[in-house]
Amino acid sequence: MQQHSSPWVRRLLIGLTAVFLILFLAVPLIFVLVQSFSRGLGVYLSAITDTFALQALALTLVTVLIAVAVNTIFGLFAAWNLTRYRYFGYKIVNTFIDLPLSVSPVIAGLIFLLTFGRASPIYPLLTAAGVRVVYAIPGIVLATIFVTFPYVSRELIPVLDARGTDEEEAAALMGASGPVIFRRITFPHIKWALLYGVVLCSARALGEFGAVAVLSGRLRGRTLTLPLYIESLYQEYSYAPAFAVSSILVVLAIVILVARAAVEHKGDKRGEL
Amino acid sequence: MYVELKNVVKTYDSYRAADNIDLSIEEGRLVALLGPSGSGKTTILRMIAGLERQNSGDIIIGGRVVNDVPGSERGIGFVFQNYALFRYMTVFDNIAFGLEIQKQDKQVIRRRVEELLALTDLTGLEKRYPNQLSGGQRQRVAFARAIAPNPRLLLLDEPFAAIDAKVRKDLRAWLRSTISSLGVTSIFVTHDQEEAIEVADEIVVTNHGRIEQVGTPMEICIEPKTPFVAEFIGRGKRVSNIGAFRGFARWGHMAAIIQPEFVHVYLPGEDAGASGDALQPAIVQDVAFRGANWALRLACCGEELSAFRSLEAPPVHPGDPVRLSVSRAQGIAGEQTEPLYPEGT
Repeated sequence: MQQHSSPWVRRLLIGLTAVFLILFLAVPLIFVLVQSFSRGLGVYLSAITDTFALQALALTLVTVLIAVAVNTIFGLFAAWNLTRYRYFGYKIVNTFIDLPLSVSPVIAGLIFLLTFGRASPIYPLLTAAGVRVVYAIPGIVLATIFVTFPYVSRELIPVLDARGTDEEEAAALMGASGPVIFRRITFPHIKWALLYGVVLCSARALGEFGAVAVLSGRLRGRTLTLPLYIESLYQEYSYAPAFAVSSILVVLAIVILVARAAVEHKGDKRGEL
Repeated sequence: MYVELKNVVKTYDSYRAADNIDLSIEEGRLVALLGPSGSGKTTILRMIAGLERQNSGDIIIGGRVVNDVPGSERGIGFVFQNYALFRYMTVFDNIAFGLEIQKQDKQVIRRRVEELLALTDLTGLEKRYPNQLSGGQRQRVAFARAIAPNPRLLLLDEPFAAIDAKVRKDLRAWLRSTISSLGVTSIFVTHDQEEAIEVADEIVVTNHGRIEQVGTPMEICIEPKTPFVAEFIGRGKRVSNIGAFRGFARWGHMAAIIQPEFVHVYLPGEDAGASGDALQPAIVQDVAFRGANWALRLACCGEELSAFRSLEAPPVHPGDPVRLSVSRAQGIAGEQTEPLYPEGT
């Protein structure tokens, strides 16, 4: 339908959107970069090459890697299960997967604290086995997995739903095994949606703060992820280093944004997102 | 018998999709499962293919009870209603898929696929993807893919449903001659009587999960055994009192179905030949042009009849008084029917 709004209305709306974006997105980002160089290039470089900063970066990347890998596998299973089988209670499972989206990350952190911490009945068992979850890296990884849980499956479910089971049935009737059917029939269809889910999941995992803050214990150089490390610098009034380290996260975010746009563009062209 | 179903029952919750089906199909036959939607015909096909499991009863293919044999080991080829072509594979790869799964030699596969491309008139299109093909081409790819591994039984689910009318006619003739030249036992599902009559050697009419009648197209058309078949196959009208028609008096108040082919209509003064004495008055209610003839709706003796009229004959119009004779009816006696012929007057 053709819209007959006056050119002034159009300009006003576009203008408002632009002002809003600049004020709330572009200016703060520029401010981060300006602040990070406010005490000169030397301070910037020493802040981002600081051992603790590099350790925080390494921990963040490892956490993202594990969380995305686990959630990709889980997401594939969940999406398959929810679109290919109809069983009693599948709707409950379907709703349950979205739980991390509606629960505040801080509460997610507390849940794990109660499940694996000193107050938990399984704490003695964990200690006896020499496993530390709370205030250690396993806790951080678990919290990140929990928070980013639904991203991959949510992208896959509508695609698998829309596609139906005909082609898979046809391949199975010709004697193809499960793995062959997945590799040759199902995967080509869902690969763009899967990649998109992985990108979203990575972006979310990279920036996770709340749940990780509860479980980390904040041991500098051991259990601080980048967002936590930035916050601790800020609390110590080391503003320029805090912003300098933030700029690493900004760069990673931009990389992911570009990757996302590329995936969207490619998937869009083939009508698969 | 190549395919046999014995007391096969399939229920979905409380709905009986197949209710004690007994069916035998001879080797080399081309059989149509014909019925309205929801009559159980697709369920029967999917059970033979192993895509559905019956609740009870036996399915036998080639003398072997296949109840617990997966579909892939039943020696069947299956053409899906919407073809289910692999959309990320070329025509060549689609047809080759079954052979690759069997780990056949590359050269053998290539030769077989080329042979099938020629058979289905698709040579030159092997590098295309399914979405670059017309409906008729897709159907032929689906057919080629199904027969590539040389199945002994070919199953087709509504093979012509997704194709436009003109192409459908050609494809029917092509499919019939191709299947008979291959000699493979084939079963196809359809809800279209004309299609079943034109294509099949044998028709199995299903209704409410039961088999109403099995017979050649000729038998089904001329001697429908049940009221359902008589109404479903033709375009006949059901009348409640056949005794009111001239020549049928001795059957009294019996209900019957009268097919339009057996109703002969004459304008006043038009020569009715030998049946002149058997005529009785009727009023034309409605006239519809059907391309090859006129379809008439007539009121006669308080009943409604349908009839055809040749384009060569003088035209009739709604409201015209005419005379008609009925040369045959299908009397309904409970669940069975019997053919009725008028007595000489």
